[in-house]
Amino acid sequence: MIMKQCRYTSQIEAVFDGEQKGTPELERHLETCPVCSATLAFLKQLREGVKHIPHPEPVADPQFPAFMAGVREALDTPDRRPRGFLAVASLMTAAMVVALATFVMIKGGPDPVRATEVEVSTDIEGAEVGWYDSEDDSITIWINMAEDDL
Amino acid sequence: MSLAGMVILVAVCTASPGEEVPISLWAMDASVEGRGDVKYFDHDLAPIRSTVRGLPFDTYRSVKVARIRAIEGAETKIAINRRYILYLKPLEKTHKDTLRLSIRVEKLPEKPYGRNTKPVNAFSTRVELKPGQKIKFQGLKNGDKELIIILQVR
Repeated sequence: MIMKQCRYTSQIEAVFDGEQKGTPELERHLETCPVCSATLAFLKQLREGVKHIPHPEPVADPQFPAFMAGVREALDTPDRRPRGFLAVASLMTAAMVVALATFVMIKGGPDPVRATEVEVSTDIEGAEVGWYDSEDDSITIWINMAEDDL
Repeated sequence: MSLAGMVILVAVCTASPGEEVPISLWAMDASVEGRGDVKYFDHDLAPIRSTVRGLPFDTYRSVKVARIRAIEGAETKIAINRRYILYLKPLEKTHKDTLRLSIRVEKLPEKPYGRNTKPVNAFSTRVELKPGQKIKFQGLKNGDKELIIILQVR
């Protein structure tokens, strides 16, 4: 806010702050000077507004011991971080999760699901049997029979 | 008759037989007749040409080609030739939409039969097959030829 200046303005401000007493001459000037009367009105409005700003409660001397007691209580309260069994259990769980994640990453995921499960055996003495998946998605069961079997 | 007895009787009477499982069978004699790279197949073996690719034979002659309707839970007997009998038993369908099958190929004893001669299982297999997937049995001796059996679940 820009206000026009009058040579009495500083005196009006000094009287308003209680630094000096008002004079009849100044009273008369105030009645005729719009600048000084506006300045005074502005100062009154400003002071009224400041009254409504909330002020923090000062810590008065009688309250200080209670204030310090609260600080000490906060400092002396046991740490709520897990200790003992709970801490060890948490640590072990975290270690297992890390180990499992590492294992899965190294192993490259589960084995691909086989479409086929085969059990094969033979009762022919001396013969060998086996099986394999062929490229065309068929399954081959083979037997190697002795030459003189027949 | 008690109520429980009636319930059991009704359950037995209405129990549906095992599900039919259509299975295709190709049994063939494989041999080497000196044909070189041009392989010979009997005409009814055309569907399985690719399945025997890579085998060291140049001639495939059909022994038995059939469509079988096996019953789930029951063993079906198919005589392949005078030496081998095939037994099929569909066991169950799995949650992966495959069929678990018990398959046996029994080899009959050669004549004249001795005192202790009896059929033996050349193969005894339990396998899971996807619909359309083929399974091939090879290495069964049949004189100077080799008997190859191929099955496909439809």
